[in-house]
Amino acid sequence: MLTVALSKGRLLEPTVEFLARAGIHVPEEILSSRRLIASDADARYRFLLVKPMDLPTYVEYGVAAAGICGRDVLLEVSPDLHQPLDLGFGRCRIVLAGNPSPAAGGRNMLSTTRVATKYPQVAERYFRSRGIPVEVVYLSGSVELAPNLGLADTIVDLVETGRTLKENGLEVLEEITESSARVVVNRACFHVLHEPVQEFLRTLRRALE
Amino acid sequence: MVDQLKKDLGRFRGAIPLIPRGVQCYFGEEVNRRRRVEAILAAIARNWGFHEIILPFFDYLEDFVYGLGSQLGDRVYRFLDKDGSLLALRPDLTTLVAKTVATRMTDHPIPVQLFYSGEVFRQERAGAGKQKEFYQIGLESMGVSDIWADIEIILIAIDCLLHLGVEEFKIALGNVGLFNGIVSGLDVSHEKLQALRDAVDHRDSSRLETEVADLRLSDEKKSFLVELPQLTGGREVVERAIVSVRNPRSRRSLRELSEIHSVVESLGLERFLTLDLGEVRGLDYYTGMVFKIYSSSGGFELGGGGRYDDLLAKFGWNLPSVGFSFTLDHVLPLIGETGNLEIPACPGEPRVLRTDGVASQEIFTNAWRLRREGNCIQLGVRS
Repeated sequence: MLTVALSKGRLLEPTVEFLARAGIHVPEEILSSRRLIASDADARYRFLLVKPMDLPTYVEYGVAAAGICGRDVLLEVSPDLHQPLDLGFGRCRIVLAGNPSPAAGGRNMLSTTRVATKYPQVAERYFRSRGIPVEVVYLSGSVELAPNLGLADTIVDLVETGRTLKENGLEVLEEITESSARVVVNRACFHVLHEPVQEFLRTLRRALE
Repeated sequence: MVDQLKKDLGRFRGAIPLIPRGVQCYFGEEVNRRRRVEAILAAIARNWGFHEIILPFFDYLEDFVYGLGSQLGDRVYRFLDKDGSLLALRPDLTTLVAKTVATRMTDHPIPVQLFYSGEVFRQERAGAGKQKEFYQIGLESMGVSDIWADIEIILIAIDCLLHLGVEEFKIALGNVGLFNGIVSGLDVSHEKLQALRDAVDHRDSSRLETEVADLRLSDEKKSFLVELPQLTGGREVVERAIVSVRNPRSRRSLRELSEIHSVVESLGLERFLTLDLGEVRGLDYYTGMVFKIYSSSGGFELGGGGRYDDLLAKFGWNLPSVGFSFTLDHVLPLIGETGNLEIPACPGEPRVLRTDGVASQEIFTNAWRLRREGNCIQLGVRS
């Protein structure tokens, strides 16, 4: 039996749909109840339901042999994992966004810019690669509020449709990278559970075609 | 574990000395286990004709940088000597063995076969099996370019684990020459190469597709590169690969892999071996076969190694070499009651089985049998 971690939140529904198309049925009980762990009907897979940012940890420690999570999470956490498949769904962009006409503040134009984000590592790396000094303010949600309240000059965030940005008076200044759902596999499990892991990957690949 | 934690919590009285992340202490039964396992591995190394070497804890930083590459070079604990020169706490033991042999053991008969154990230090993100200070036990065989030295190294690794009663493990064996042979003719930057290797290493086929798109390679080669990380298994992966590569370096790498595989198979040990053509990562000094050892119960590497033919030349003696090491902390949890494990007897000076340059399968079969019977056997010393 192969243990597969699934991300709660925005990716859960498309993940379950995709797996169903591939012939892997995530049990109802895990979706409707508070149970966070359950096996499928023919006991080939055991599923764990975890927070997206925690998913790489479960796989890195080998508690789950494989998992499905967004590329945004992988970029932020930089886990030491195999990433053999891009499943294509859950597409979105990681962008730098800001207020197009910020209220004139009293800040020195050379002062370090502040960026609010759920992705501190991604933001840090992005600004560093551009040679721009930055102060990263970590927030775990409602990031879009920050520029309007003066908490930060810009935000680095995930954008699917761009509606939330618009409703908060923000616009995309630059696209940093793209994200979609990825399959991750523990390095040891890749070899010692070779057959079940390959079977899992083959099944998903077939559904992609 | 929990008992000790409760005691530690109960002892809290305000300000206490902090312990840095990523270091460990051992006491009691745990110490006995570690020492015993160390003694067992040392005895096995001796019986394979290896001699122990004790190495310094620090050395000049620049001596480590070549072998480890910039990636690991960044993670070295460095400090200043009184005269201002940069020193480093050893992040790796192989480099130190190489330096010592190349500079101070040049009159030693070839092959120079050494083993060592001790702590290495790296500024890693502690967790997921990584510590900042960890204990390695390893061995190096220096002076043999022939494939039999590679085979020996793989067999020692298997012998060690079998002695420790570990039966559930896999050695994932690759050869960096395969990938390097394909990309060596390409006129691309170091960064581009690193990105390609990284994509293969993560088996990230979608990134790999993007990375190969602008390479000056035939479509067939490109699709082979994209397929590379999926080529894992038995000898059939070599057969699959050999039709796609024509450059001599890659072809030699594939031949070596299949040769190692057939010897391991002839000893009935192939269940421990997986060929993994996507295994391209390792320290920068590797030039040929590379491998990692995984156990089925944990998510972490037990150890690994490979061939490094150019490292010693860096220190002034051009000696082709191959070696590997175990990370003790990852091996220990797999071992049951070590009290029951016997430390193999060391019958003294090794008996030498001549290989005359090329070792045949019979020699390995013979040596493996004699060693399992407790004999001390060394292969191929030039007279």
